[in-house]
Amino acid sequence: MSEHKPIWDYRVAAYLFLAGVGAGSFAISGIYYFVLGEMMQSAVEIAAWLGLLLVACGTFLLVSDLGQPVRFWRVLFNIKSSVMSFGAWTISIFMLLCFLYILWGNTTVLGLGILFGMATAAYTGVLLGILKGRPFWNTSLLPVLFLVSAFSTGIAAVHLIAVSMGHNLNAFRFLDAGFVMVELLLLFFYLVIMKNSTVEASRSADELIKGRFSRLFWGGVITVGLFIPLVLHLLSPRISVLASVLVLIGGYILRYSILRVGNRTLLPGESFEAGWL
Amino acid sequence: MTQYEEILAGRQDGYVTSVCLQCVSSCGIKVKVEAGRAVAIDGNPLDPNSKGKLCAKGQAGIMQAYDPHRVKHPLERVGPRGSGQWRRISWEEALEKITVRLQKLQNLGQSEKLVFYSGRNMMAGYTTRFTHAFGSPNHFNHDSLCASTRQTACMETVGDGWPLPDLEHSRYIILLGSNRLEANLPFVAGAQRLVKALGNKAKLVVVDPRFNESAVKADEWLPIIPGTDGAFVMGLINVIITEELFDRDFMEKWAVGFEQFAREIVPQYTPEYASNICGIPVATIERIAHEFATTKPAVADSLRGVAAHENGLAASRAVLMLNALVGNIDEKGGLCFSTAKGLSAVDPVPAVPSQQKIDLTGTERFPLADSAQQQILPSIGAGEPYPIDTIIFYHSSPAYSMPEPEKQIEVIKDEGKVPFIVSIDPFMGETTALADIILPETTYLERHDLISWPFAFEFQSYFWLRKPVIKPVHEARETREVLRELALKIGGGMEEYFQDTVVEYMKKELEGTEANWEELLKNGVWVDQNPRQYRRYEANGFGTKSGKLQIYSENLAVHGFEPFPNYHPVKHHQDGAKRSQYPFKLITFKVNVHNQSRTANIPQLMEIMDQNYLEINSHDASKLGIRDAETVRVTSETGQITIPVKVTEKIVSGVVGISHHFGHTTYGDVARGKGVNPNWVIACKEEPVGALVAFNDTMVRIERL
Amino acid sequence: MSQLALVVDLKKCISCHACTVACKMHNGIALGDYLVKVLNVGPKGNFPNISKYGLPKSCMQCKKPPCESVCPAGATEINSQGVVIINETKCVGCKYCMAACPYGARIFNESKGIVQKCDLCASRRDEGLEPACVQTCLAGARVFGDVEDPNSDASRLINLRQGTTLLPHLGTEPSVYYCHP
Repeated sequence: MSEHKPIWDYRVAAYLFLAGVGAGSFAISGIYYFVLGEMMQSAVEIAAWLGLLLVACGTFLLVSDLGQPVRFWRVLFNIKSSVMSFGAWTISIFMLLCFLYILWGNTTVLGLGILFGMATAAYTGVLLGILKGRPFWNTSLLPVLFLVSAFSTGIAAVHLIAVSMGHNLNAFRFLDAGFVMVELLLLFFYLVIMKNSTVEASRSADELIKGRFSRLFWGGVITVGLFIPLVLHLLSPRISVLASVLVLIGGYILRYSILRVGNRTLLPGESFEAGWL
Repeated sequence: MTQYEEILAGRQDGYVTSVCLQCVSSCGIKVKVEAGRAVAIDGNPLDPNSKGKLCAKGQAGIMQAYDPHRVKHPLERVGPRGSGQWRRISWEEALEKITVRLQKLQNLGQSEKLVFYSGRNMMAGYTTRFTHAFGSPNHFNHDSLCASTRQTACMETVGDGWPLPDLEHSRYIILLGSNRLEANLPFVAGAQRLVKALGNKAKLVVVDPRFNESAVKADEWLPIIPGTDGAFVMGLINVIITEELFDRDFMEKWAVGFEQFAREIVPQYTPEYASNICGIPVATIERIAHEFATTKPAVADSLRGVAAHENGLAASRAVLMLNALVGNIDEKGGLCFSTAKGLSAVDPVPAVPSQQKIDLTGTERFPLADSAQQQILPSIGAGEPYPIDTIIFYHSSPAYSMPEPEKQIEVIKDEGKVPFIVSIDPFMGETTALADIILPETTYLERHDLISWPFAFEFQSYFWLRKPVIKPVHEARETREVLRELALKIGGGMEEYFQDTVVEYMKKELEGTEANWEELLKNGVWVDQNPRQYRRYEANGFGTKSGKLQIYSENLAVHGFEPFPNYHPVKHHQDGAKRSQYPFKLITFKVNVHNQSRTANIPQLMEIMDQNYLEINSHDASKLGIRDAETVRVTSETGQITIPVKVTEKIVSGVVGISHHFGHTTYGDVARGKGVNPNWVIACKEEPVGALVAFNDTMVRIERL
Repeated sequence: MSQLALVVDLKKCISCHACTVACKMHNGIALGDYLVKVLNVGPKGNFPNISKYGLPKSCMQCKKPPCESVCPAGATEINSQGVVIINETKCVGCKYCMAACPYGARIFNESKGIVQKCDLCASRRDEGLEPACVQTCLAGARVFGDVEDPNSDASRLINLRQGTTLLPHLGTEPSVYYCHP
């Protein structure tokens, strides 16, 4: 037991975030491509690049967090039982699909990309969600929350790139506003459920609501990451770019703070007072 | 070369037996040595006392040897005393300086001006030899900081300095101010036997102001007001005698003064009287007395908690009396006598110089005490009975471990009063930091000691051999060798007593005993195979002057002390004005992961506990408006400290407790600045007969900052 | 199948921390990290009726160890003696197992870049010695043995005192048992 120091640092939070943004942007753009057609073509192209690069960046950060980075390829070898191994395959295939889409622009590839994009985004939540000894994470709400956040931040990322390239993707602001609202609701339910769950889950929720991470949570996640963007998106397309930037910042802080408050189940004689368990 | 020598030379890996010295219990150890480096320590299963077990401190032992903050080479002071300015010198130069100084004293016929100031000294025979051979009577140990009064009580009452409770076989155990499951002596051997007894359904009663780890395991914890143990025990004695629950045959046959004791002393200590004083209910006193007298075998064990008070001698004697009354002296499961067989004296033995010792023992001030360490520096400060020249400090640190340290430090710093100070120390302790020359000592993993100790729970005779398991680290040298070299250099007749090498000397100490050196060298311990015997007094009588159990002590009477076990309140606890000014009684205690002051630089122990607190009962805290963890000011008549508070249910109301071990101002980077040294508020008073410093009598005031 | 494990008699444990330090020194565990740690349960109650006990915690040698199933590199295995071990050459140091262990029994060895856990002192057992924590336990509170051998001291103690496991509801099926004070 390493006392009072978090198992994972900012790099793993950044990985969860970047994998979400990259996968989310490709998946949601792809979905809209199938719904709205050619007008989304440029968005999908941008998203394919984002998917490839951001997920690669995230993976690089994750590998840099390994104690034995040169052995990273070994994580592919326990797909039978390890979610992480399964996720490594998912992510690899997703990146491959992005790459193939950039090469060929094939809609079958895009379809598969949507599937693997959603799987990658949700996987970042499943990774934490299956851990029975960490009650705050051990819920199927977490993959859903991370998926929604991936869509929202993915849209924001595509939006930013599109705007900087001179494309008009104004429609995205309403879309993102929608996801932000869903995310707010999900977060609300998540915290309500956790508050009424085990002592440990409740304590973790409290760390966000009123504890050591409350400033990050209320300031970073809720205000900067969700509430202000929502208002900005709805107010005017001209400040919508700023909204997208804030959504991305909030998306990272969400991963970071959830990662930090996921305390272990208490044993007799243990308490959270001293710090991380 | 033998295998041991190969290991020591780093040419072979293996285990080397030796003896722990993280405290003085002397548990056998087996050290794993790889390439000449000690890597880990196990207990030595051949040691029948510790049975191959070690405590946390013992497990961390190699950290002493490899502590990066050790004094690495001899040092000479260059700035003012205590300035921390040093010059590295060679051993040759250091020993030459000391030799010149001491030769001068010898030539002037002023040998008594050498003071050998030692503490937890595992080679007292050797250092005494050095001091006496030089011509000074002034060799001192630390007994008066430890348990001297209890030793005096034992000698005067049962004629054995360190009787041990046969915990393992007892059915009913009362611990009074004796924390067997956390501290005491020997901790590892005692605790395992007590746990075993509890597993066999023995009843444990812990009488202590604090809910310590022994109380945790007790069937009953009786919180008591410090300094009133005597009243409680006299209350028990009163019930046992009044109700004729005592062993009349034993008393008639073996006791001196029983009739007078029963007639004149006991009647006043009714359970009602005792209860009023000690805070334990009358019914409880009566019940415990019945249980103790009727459960066989039973034993009552006391140590510093009872003895380190102004009235500690009478109270300690009362505890012995309690054991004796029910006939449990040297009985299986009772209070048993030591079986230690001494080492042989090595000829020639230097005569004890005839001058008065400067701690004033043997004078009217301390007529019966063997040690009064607290008096040494005050005597020097006053120039009484004569001025001195040189102090050699060894394994002792009055600047840290004595109450009212400021008074000790003042004298040490005064170059007029103490012209020359040598300190032999592996660490830059608080006293060593004030020395003129520092000789880096070996830690216990780099040195020899041949030990004959009374703390043997199997009640067989043992010898332990401590031997180097590694070569000295840095420039450290074994003190025996250093003293021998000094003696040979100083000469003037002194050299005659130091002809033997260190090992030859120890071999000679074994001559005339049944032990053999080879076996000791291999096993680390030699055990007398003769079966254990109880009730040895039946053959030999008691070791007292009268050969009997001395309820009445002639010796005490002659010197004007109370001859019977009794209870008198601690005087200043009775002073109403003082009580209103200083309403709390302060006690100090030990915890299980630290020893006195020598483990505070071990990170592996400090990460379990790295500071102390003022423990205060929750009622007292709320009355004062003190919250947990806040820092308060503790003021006594002699000093003031600030310390964080631990609000707890684990201490009796009206009493506050601070552990030892912390508050170093020098020593090492890990230790320095962590916690508080309670000695800075403790008054330097003593129990007058055995001269034990009354550590637990201080009254204090607690204030919020 | 055998299942080596510990049975801890909490009635005997005197919270002396010898196991903690023994483990650290014998296994070279870094400061701040522990493979064995004594938790303080309590004190409960009000003066003078208070109680507390020590709970020495270490790897539970689970039969269904979450640390094993989550390991992406297959570096954690259960050996033939039932001991959960880490294959040091396979571990990538992702620390996922540390997050998965409900008992917080695993540590990250910074110098080796891999995760480390209690293997019941395999190297000491090879030398014919007991695990360091067991060898030094002066109260005799730690009993080491095969908990599936009905004749072992460990099994007998579990039966006699109705030993229980920690967090059984998590389905990890711990092999380390505690006999309550």
